Amino acid sequence: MTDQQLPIANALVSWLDPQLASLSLAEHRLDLSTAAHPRYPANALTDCPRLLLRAYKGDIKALANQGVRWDYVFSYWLYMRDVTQAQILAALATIEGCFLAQFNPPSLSAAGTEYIAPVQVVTHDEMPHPLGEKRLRVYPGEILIGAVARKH
Amino acid sequence: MSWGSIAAALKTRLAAVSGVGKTHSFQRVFKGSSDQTEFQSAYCKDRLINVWMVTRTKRVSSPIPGESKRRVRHSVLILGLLKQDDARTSDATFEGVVDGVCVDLETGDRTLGGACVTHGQPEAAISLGKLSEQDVHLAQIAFDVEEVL
Repeated sequence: MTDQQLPIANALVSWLDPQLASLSLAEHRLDLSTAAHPRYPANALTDCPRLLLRAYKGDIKALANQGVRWDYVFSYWLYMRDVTQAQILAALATIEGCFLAQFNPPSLSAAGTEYIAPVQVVTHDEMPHPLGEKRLRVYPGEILIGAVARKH
Repeated sequence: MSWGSIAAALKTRLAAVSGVGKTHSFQRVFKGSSDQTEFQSAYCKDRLINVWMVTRTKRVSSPIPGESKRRVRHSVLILGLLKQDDARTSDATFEGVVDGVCVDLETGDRTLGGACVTHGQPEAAISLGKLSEQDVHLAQIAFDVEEVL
């Protein structure tokens, strides 16, 4: 993650967190590990629902006489336990709705973004617990987020 | 969480099943004669061998990707013994108790009162055996228990 991407990611978590009280998240944070997603949480009983933000890439484009533009891709991973697909879609829609209501909130703009918006919402296959307990099935959902930052 | 608290929780669960006699959270290995006080104390209820013991056959620990925790999987073995007694139809009695223990594990609290994250489905092997020259019915109920440390 670049020096510019990290403050954007932190600002994203800080901006979104107070708007997601209805999801009763057990955890919402930036995931700085290199472990792949989707991945089963340590303890689905206590860790879900959890929302982890991953920063994936930042394309750099030098613009003639207009400075430099960074195209960042973030991914929000939502993990919910023992829910239906409709419930995880509803939770993803809640998160998506925050972005659609405000395309470039001031706190993110202050961190350097010119534009930030969701570009794709995906639900993945359920992740069963290896010991087979039904209520420990975890359902992952993902929101891909595009952000643009520019330096003149 | 620890193996000690998991074994203690399983002992408590076993003791609540109808027909289960003496219970231990570890395997008793007393080798003396069946008329000794120590033998009676370890294995007998109402002077009849009827004992259930909790032990484990394996412990596997693995790191959890992206987390600073470890997943620990214990392979649990519950041993149940009942003295053979044809006049009392001990085989039928024993089969009923084995069912009771397995159903309790299948349908009861899978966290064992918070001692673990969950446990797997029990598999029971039932046979005849000997304990200090006494003929017994023997059940070996195996399943995995998971904890996160």
